[in-house]
Amino acid sequence: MKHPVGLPEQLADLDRTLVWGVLNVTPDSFSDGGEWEVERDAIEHGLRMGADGADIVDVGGESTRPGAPRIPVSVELQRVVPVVRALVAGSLVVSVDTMRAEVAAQSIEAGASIINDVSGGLADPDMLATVAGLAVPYVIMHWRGHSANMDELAHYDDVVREVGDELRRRVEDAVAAGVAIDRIVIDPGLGFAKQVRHNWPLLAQRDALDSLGLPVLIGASRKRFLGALLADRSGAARDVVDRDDATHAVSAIAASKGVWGVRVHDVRGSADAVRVGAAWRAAGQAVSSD
Amino acid sequence: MTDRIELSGLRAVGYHGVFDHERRDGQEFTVDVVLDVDVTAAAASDDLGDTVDYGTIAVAVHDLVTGEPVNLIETLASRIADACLIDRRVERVEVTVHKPSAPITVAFSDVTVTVVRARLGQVE
Repeated sequence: MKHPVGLPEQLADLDRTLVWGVLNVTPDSFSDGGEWEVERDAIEHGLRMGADGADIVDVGGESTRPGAPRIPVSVELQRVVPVVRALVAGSLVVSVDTMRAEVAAQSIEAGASIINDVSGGLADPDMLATVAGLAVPYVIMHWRGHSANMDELAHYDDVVREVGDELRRRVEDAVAAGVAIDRIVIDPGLGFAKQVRHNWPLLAQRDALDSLGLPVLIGASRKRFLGALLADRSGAARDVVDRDDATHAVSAIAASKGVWGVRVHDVRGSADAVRVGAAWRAAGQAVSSD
Repeated sequence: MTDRIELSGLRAVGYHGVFDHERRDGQEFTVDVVLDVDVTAAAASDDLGDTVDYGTIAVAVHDLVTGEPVNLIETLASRIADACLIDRRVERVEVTVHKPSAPITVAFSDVTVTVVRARLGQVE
């Protein structure tokens, strides 16, 4: 498994897909639904995900569900920084899901190890230079605009090629700003400016992404395309909270295909699933060395 | 006339090829990369940050050779070229992939594919 440079030591030797646990410190989060609004609950949930097998806990203070409004940077900082500090004190590897340079800088100061920017440097003009200075692994997601109107931006002639090309430009921008190429991870941004049908080709046809030669993070967890896949006979989408088994299936297949990381809400099932995928993959390669 | 950075003879075992035994056993590939880069600024500053770091390029090439198998060395060479062009200071790149143990039934010493890629997709 090719890891980005700068990954904490306890993860750098793992030869399997890493499991990222989603920790939304937001009252309006699409899946936690306000359950973890209180800082104490968020910390407790993060520590539990660590115990359940999360390799990385990804802390976010700003909801990015479709239609979500933005929040002030001060609110994001108040939500994120204390949680980062507490999880790091609990010996967890922490990533911070933010589009803001200020939040990135203060989170790394508080002990976070990775910045996960769903806008890939587009939302904040200071982000790339800040990340270059922080010298930490940086996840660049495919993004076309803020959540409030991203569904209007979900138009593609060839989704795999266009997402690959757009990600490539973001990676080029990051490198031009001084971010080391070997610290970059890419994420095709399932569900972000994507219609339901756009997500499967991005999972299955990875040539355009693989050609960048960078580790790939996949975030399929509980997303609408899984809800649509599991729709009942009347066509009603499966409820958000009942999409975890399908999420784990994606995790297992992703792991068998060499995807670097999966970002999930329900950690325990995907922690098992990536081990199944890794064993499957290893057995396929073992034939090769007999 | 542009300046050049050349990396030659980078060797690694990869599993590229169309035959089962190539995917199973792997073989050694050798890669040469020629980067057209203006090194004027770096020569003046003597700062690694002002040029394309050949160490980083070498690791990226190595990772692609040892990574996900592809059928053709044409594909591998093209991917390596694309990876080199991620740094926008690289104006043009020439990548040669050698496959000296390729499954050919007659005696030969080497088989290579060379691709040339330039920014904006143009080659003079």
